[in-house]
Formats: sequence, C-alpha cells, structure tokens
Amino acid sequence: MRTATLAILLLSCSAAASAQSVLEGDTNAPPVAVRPYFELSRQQFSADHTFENVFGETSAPFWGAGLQVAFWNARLYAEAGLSRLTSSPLVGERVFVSGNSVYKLGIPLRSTIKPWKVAGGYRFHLSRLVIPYAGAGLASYSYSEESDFAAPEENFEGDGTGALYQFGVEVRAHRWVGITVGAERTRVTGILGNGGLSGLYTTGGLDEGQKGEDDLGGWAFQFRVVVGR
Amino acid sequence: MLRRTPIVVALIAAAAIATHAQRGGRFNVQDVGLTPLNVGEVMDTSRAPGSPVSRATAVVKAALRDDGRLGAAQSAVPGRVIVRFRANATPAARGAAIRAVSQSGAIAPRPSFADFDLIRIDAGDDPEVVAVALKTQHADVVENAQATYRWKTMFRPNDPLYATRQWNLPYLNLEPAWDIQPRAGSDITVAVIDSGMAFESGNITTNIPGFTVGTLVYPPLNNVLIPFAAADQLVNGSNANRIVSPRDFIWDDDHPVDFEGHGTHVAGTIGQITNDNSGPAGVAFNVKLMPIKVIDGVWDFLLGSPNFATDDLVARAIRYAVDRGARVLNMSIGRSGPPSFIIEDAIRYAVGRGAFVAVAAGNEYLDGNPVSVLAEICSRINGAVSVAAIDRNKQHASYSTAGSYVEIAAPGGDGSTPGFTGIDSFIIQQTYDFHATDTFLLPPSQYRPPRFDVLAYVGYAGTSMATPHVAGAAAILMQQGITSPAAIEDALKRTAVDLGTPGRDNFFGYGLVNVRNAMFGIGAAK
Repeated sequence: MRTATLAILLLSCSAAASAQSVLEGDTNAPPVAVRPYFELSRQQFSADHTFENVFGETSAPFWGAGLQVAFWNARLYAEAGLSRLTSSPLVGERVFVSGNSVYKLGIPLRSTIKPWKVAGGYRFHLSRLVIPYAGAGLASYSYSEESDFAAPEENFEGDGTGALYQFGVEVRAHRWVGITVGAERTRVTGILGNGGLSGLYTTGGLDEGQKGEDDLGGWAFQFRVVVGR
Repeated sequence: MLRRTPIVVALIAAAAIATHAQRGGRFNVQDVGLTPLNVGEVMDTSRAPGSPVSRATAVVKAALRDDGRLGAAQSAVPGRVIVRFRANATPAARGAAIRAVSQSGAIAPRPSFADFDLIRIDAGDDPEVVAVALKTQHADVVENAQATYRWKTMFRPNDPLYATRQWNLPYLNLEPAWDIQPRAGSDITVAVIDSGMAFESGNITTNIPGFTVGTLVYPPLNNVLIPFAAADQLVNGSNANRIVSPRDFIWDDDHPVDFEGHGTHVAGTIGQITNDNSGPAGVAFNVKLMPIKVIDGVWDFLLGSPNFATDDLVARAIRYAVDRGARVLNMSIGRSGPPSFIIEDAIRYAVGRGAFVAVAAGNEYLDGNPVSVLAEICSRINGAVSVAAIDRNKQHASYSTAGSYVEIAAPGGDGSTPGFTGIDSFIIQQTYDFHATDTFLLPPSQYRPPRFDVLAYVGYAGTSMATPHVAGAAAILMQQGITSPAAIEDALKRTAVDLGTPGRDNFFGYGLVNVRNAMFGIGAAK
C-alpha cells in the first residue's frame, strides 16, 4: 500500500513538473543505453523480531552490482543485479524460546544472504538532471544458516523468490555518471517462517505472533552510482 | 533416600528404631585438615573373566564403539567435495572435469586460506559424495579429491571411572553439551539439600552413648575421636572455594557433616571434579555447591542432634538456599503423607526468586506407590520438576514411584536391571566407604567409632540418584542463558527423549533428559 502511494505521488509530481519531457524522455539518449551500476544499501528486515533476537539488529548493509538497460529515449529501464552482505556472514546466536521470552544461548550462528533481482520500470525525465523512477520485479534470496556445534542436518539452506517494488531519484552528476538514491521493498517468502524463531513467530508458537516474520525481504534504502547515459 | 542394599537399609532402620541411647551433647569440631583415605571402588561382584560384570563391561565398550566415540566411521557431509586441481589446469578444463562427474557440480569461489577448491554439488542429485570424490580424483586435471567430514571438539573426561562405570552420564548426551559449555556451570550455585556433604576435614571428639538393637547391646564409647575428611573429588586445592554458605539445620551450625554419605554421593553426580584423571565425572562439574543438611541419620541420632528432618526444617532450608544465592536446588529427599503448605510456599518462593528445583519422585513403587508430597507439589509449579529413575536399559527403575506428577526421567540405577549386576547397575560416585562409617551394623564385639575420612567410589540407586542429573543439567542450562526456572523446565521437557508410552506418561514423564538438545535452541530459520 505504501509503495503504491509513493508511486502515485511520484507520478503526480512528474506530471505537474513537465508533462512534455516526461512523455518524451531524453531525446538525446541512445536507443539502448547499457548502464552498469554499483550499489550500497541497507535492508530493514521485515522479520525484525527474528533478526533482533538472533542477530541483535534488524537491518544489515549490502553491496551490490548490476546492469541496467535504458531504452525508448531512456524512459523505460530493465535491470538485473546481485547483492551481498557487506560483512558476511551475519553473526548471531542461537536462542531458546519459552512462553513469550527469548533466551540468547551464546552459541554462534552465521548466516549468509545472497539476493539477486530483476526489475523494470519507468524513468520520469523531470529535467535533464533529476530523473525519478519507479519499477517492479522479482527478487530471489539464497539464505544459509550454520551454527557452531551443529550437526549438518541442524543447519539450514534455502531459497525464496518474491515481488520487488522500487522507486527513487537519479541525479545526473556527469554526462556518464548518475547518482541514485532510492528505496526498494521486497517480499521473499519460503525461507523464514517454517522453523526456528521465525517459525515460532509465524505459527503463533510465541504468544505475541508477529506479521512479516516469514519474510526475508523488507525495505532497502539504496545509494547507487550508475555509469552510462 | 538411598537404596544401597535392602539389608543395609533395613539394618539402619532397625538400629535407629531400637536405639535407647542417652543423647550426648554438641560435638567438638576440630579442623585439622585431614587427608582422606581413598579405598577406590566398593565392589559388590567379582570382575573375574566371564563374570557378569566383565560381560557387562564388554557390552559397554561395544556400545561406545557403535556410537562413534571409540572411532567408528563418520558419514561425509552431503553437497560438497574438496578438490585440488593441477596448477596448469585451465578454468574451462576444471569446470568440464567437475561436470563430467556430477551434472550439478560447480566450483565455489575459493575460500580464504585454502589451497584447494570446494565443489558444490546438489545433494539430491549426488547423495554419494564419497563416490563423487573418488571419480573426481581420476580426472586428468585433478591432483587429489576427497569428501568432507564434520569436525568437532571432543571433550571426553579422562576420569577413569567415567569410561568404565558411568554409563549414566552419556545417557544425558553430555559430551556434546560439555563441548558447547566447557565451563559446565561455573557461575551457578547448586544447593544440595540433603544429609550434608563431605566438604571439610576435621575431628569430632565426643561421647557416644550405648544402645541396643534387639538383643544386641552396644556399649557406650567415651571420649572418642571421629575423623572426617573432605571428598577429594568434590573439593581439593584450587577449587576449595566452590563451597558456598554451608548450613546444618539438624545441628544448627555451619558444619553440615554428612554422616550418611547420601548428600556427598548426590553432590558428586552434580559436580564431581572432572577431567582430573581420577575417579568419576559430574554433570556440571564446575558449579559451586551449597551443602545444606536437613536429613538426620543414625549417627546424628546417637550423637544427640537437637533437630530431625521435618517439614519446617526443609521449608527453612529451601528459603535459606535461595536467600544465600543458590540458583538450582537439588532435593533428593521426600516423604509421603498429607500435603504441606509450608513446603509448597517455600518451593514457590524459590522459583519466584529465580531458582530451579529438582526433586526425587520417590522410591516406593513396589511399596504401594504412594504419592511423594514434594514431587506432587513440584509438578504443579513451573520451574520445579519431579524426577523419576531409569535403569541401565533405559527402562523404568523397579522402585521409581509412578504417577501423574512424574515430569522427567534420569538414570537412577537399579540393582535388578536385566543384564547388569552389582556396581554396573548402579550410579557410582565418591562418598564414604560405609564399611568405615556404619559400624553400628557390626556385632557389638567389633563395634567401634565411625570414620568419615575413608572415601570410596560407591554405587547407589534411587530417584535420589536420578535427581542430581537434572539439577546438574539445569545448572548448565542456566549458565547457557536460560535464566528462568520455568524456561529450564520447558527446555528439559521439550527436548527429553521420549521413553515408554509415546508422549508423557506416569513412569518417565516427558522422558529422559537430553542436555545437549536442551541447550542448543533454535536459529532464525531452523
């Protein structure tokens, strides 16, 4: 809902600003612009109770890279990218849950999160320098969890795919360089929520069941450097 | 309490009942730092070749081999193979060699500090990683390949009796628990509310009045010196400070000398000094111990103790333990009969102050199976558990009281265990050699003052012996971070190995305690 509202706001802004340029795009842009990008982001996990209790934090920084292709006067874009935790693995500890209390056990647990994404969307050419964008796509996460003293079957590896929505603003800093500030919402199920602490939150094993604890995604706030026109 | 042998118990009871002695005064304690004598194991049966004990020992060794601790093969970790490629092999050739062996094989990015590569394979497609490794080894571009195997720390106490006699501790899955927590409860104080504890050395100079047992007349012993010594497997040298706030409610002093040996044995199961190349091991071998005496024995009676074990004493002892900082209370004691509100209040007080309570379910299954008051109370309080006993075959110990109030089970031993006899069917720990202490069982002509400085490794059986396994487990869990008594009970029950009828039953409760699983918890996703 919030994503849709923001998208509508962006569309309204762009319409009010310059209907002509928005509709025409960048008439000087090449028919197909290939634009690699590098990205730093911080994801605020939807499963914040799980992450808070196991890892001691509800968000984590990622770095990533990908390739964006802009076409139709740079009005449309499609992109694919990978990202990784900047400090991988994420280190936490195993917990024991009784009633509504979570007890931290001090047994190290290491997790890796490896997202890859494909998305596409529209770029609103408000001006030559400021280009908001909004899009949607798919995100796929690979997740692993390994604990000290665990037998192999007590560790976990899993994959999940879900929807992705993104929006932001690209500021052209140079003819060949753009700086993007944006946000991205992913919802990736199938990894969390079936076991462990996230499973307890999801299935009501904890009295205070929490929404979103089956979602490895969340809101990510991104800073990108885009190379290309 | 203890089930040493029915005959011994009967004789003690007879002696106590038949005594008409005039009580003596308070005895004089002199701390002269005696060194205990250790006479080793007290054996009930021969260990000659072909004897039942020898056969049982062979069975134990075979069982240890079977579970991998004596070198049985381990299985390979699925989904990965280690490969060292030849230096001149191109990336394309490396990839082709792997795919030729496993369609799903892919070379993972080389990890740091590795002079080899990890090949990830789909465990579903290629479950036999050893076979994949062998095939990979034959590729031209491969110098060597192997499957990967799980490593772990391997703490196995070097106490000789752990290997030969203590069948009970492995039943709790303790070795992996000790790997996780090598400190084994070092920050936790466990109160042993029992018959006292052999934790200090000294002499008692006193007069022992005469008494009669049936037609036998035992003469008074005047101005006799009774030596007592600390159990060197409970306290010695560097860890002498593990004893916290000792208290004797029978004699109203701070010297809870154990005239029964029961409390010392129980304390050993909880916290026997471990990995010292001597004697047996304990469950939470680094805990602090708080000896609290509430049980009087024959010698307390003969020496004229001012108090004897009653509800009021036990209730006060529980509150004392908690107020002095005990986080786990072991109560291998009990009684049947009417309920006691002061005991229930005291248990609720203990749990409310953050102390976990483990109590014996009772030993009277064959004697009408009466309800143990303390066990029944604890079954209604989250944070206090009643403990049933199992024998070496993981069956219900013949004496262990059964009922709806039984919550969990632990090894208690049983002299009538099929396939095992004598000491091999009991729980062994260091305590007094009762040949030196129970001189009132001798004929009057051989009657002499007792000695409480002769220690031995003695086998006992009973829910008294099962309970300290749970108390030790609780200390480990508390040290690991499960700080609430109710949560400890929850962890013990949820991870217990179900025995008997599926689900909770009246003989085993939720099943046999599994310390490692209780302390391992869960992750984010699994």
